[in-house]
Amino acid sequence: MSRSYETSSQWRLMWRKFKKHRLALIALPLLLLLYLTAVFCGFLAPNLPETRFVDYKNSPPQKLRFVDEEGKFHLRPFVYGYKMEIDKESFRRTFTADTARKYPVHLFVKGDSYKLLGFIKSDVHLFGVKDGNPLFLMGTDKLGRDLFSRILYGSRISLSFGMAGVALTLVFGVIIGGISGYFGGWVDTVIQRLIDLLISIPTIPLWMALAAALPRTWSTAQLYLGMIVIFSLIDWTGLARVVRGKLLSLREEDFTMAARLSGASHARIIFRHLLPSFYSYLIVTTTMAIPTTILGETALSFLGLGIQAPAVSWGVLLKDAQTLQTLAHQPWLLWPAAFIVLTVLLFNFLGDGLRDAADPYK
Amino acid sequence: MSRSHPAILEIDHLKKYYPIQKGFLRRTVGHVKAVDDIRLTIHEGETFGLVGESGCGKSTLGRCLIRAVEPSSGQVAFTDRSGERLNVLSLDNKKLKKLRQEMQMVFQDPFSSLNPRMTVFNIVAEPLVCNGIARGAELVRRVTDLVERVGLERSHLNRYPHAFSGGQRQRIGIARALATNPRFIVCDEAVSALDVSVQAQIINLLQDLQRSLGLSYLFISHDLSVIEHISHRVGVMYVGKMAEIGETEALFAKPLHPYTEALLLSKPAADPAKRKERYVLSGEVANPASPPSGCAFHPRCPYATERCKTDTPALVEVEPDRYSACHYAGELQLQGKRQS
Repeated sequence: MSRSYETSSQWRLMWRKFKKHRLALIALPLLLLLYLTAVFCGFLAPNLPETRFVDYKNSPPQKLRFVDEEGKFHLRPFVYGYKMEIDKESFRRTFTADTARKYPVHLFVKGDSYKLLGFIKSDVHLFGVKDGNPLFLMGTDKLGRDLFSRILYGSRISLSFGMAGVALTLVFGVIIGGISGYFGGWVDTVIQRLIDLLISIPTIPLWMALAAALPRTWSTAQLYLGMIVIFSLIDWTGLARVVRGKLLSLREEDFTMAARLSGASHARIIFRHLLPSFYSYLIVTTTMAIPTTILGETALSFLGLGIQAPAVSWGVLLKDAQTLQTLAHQPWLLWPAAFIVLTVLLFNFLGDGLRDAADPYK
Repeated sequence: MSRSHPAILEIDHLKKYYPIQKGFLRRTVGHVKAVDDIRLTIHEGETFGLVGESGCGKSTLGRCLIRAVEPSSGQVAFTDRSGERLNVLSLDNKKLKKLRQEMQMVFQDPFSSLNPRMTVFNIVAEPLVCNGIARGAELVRRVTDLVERVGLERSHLNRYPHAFSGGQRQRIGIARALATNPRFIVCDEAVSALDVSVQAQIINLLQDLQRSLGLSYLFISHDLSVIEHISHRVGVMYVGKMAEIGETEALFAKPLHPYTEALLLSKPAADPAKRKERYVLSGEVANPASPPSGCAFHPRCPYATERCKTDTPALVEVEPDRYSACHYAGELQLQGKRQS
């Protein structure tokens, strides 16, 4: 055993254990990347989410190419333009790649102006094609809006919703669970029965009822906050149970009694002994709760009860992929689902790793 | 060691009843009498050994004295350093905090008794910080002293408990208990969780500390050999009550309560040739929620009579300094410890 092991704090021991969990170790930077993407979506997206390219409605994704049709290699990637054909019988427009028109993709292209982080005005995009030509890496929707850009913008709401929802859940859960565990007695009984009651109600109908109660006149920001409150009102129960159980067992630990006998005040016992002992559990529970919240928002928005267009979230985007017809003809509209699956998986991997590392002393 | 020394702790009619609650409204349907009417005096500089089977209330008694558990009723008088007699059970929080500087506790489990998230320094320093006794360089000096006194090194101060063995952890626990310079320490099964060789080291440490600091101990254990080794006087507890109290040697040589005899005889003899005559205490420890009528030990007692089923025996002084709670304490010829 090395000296560093002996003087390692809880966090360092946790990190040691966490490192052994491969998937979690991969998930962590990828999640950070996703969140950074959400923060800098204006810069990263080649187009604005609401810009309509009326000539390119329902166009399929373009492929980013290095080799052209003559087999010549280009160091700078390029995309082909679209060639539109109208089916004489069904009047459906189909797009194919027009090999005659090549648009090289440049870095730091000037395009539509946006506000980075909400206040830095800029018109430089990380990549794009020049002169307003189309660049639709994941195709467009029925109004001709670039899906890739919309997904990046949508990640702002979808990803932050998980965090914000869980943050509020954490507040409810810790306070109510803390009261339940610390005071015990009839207070505990009442709170636990209330939790039983809440858990017994099927969540989706309850969400729907509550979400339907939000006024349709509310702005996006209000709706967003309202939904966060709805989620945490339902979601805090699990966390409250964890906190209560942990408090009950920690109260019985000898080191808590030793601290009391040492003359430590209640505040000192709570903040130096009890809380540090379950920070790690809170982090784990929280991490595992984030994907559930993200899925919840997606589900409600998909059903049309959550965030409303023109605001974009992944759930709102998926609403466009509701009918079989669109799925058959525009399968690329399912791209947001891929992002949701990826995010949820990454969070679960991360949570798994954290759970293994949560108690480095066992 | 007994009568010549002044009392440091006098316990009188101490009771701790836990209510048994049932149903949604938590009606009290009975009581677990964990500590039932205990009278006991512990003298200065003495080690009082408290022995009994699991669940007999030894630990609860120890915890009641320092008010880690609130007793239901009774009296505990503690004589502090200045000679003032404090009524422990009626102290307010401020005075209780002061009392606990003079009265400390060493716990059974060396793993759960140290906060794994604190360094040794912070663990040992906690009583000094909380009581405002030392800070800064003085704090460092005192903590270093304490740690060295219990046989650890200065270099251990920045380590976390996970880096130590059970015995070392127990040393840390002892250093913490010593921090406020107490006069009386409750050792609640302090060596029970340790290996036999480590037990001996910790017992020696406790004895050294007793000699150099003039400490008094209430040493709680279920291990008769440990009790015999460390205690000046011994109390035997059975289902919340004291069965017998006496000087260690006398009690081990000639018990005055059948329960003590049973404990002594059930201890395996070192000599395998004597194994045949091994006595096995039959039956289970009585349930403290509904103890048997009369003498709680009568269902397991080989000498029990009709009287034992109805009359509860009181703890009386049978011989000088020998107390027993048996109706036939003077009459029975009980076997003492086997010579091995």
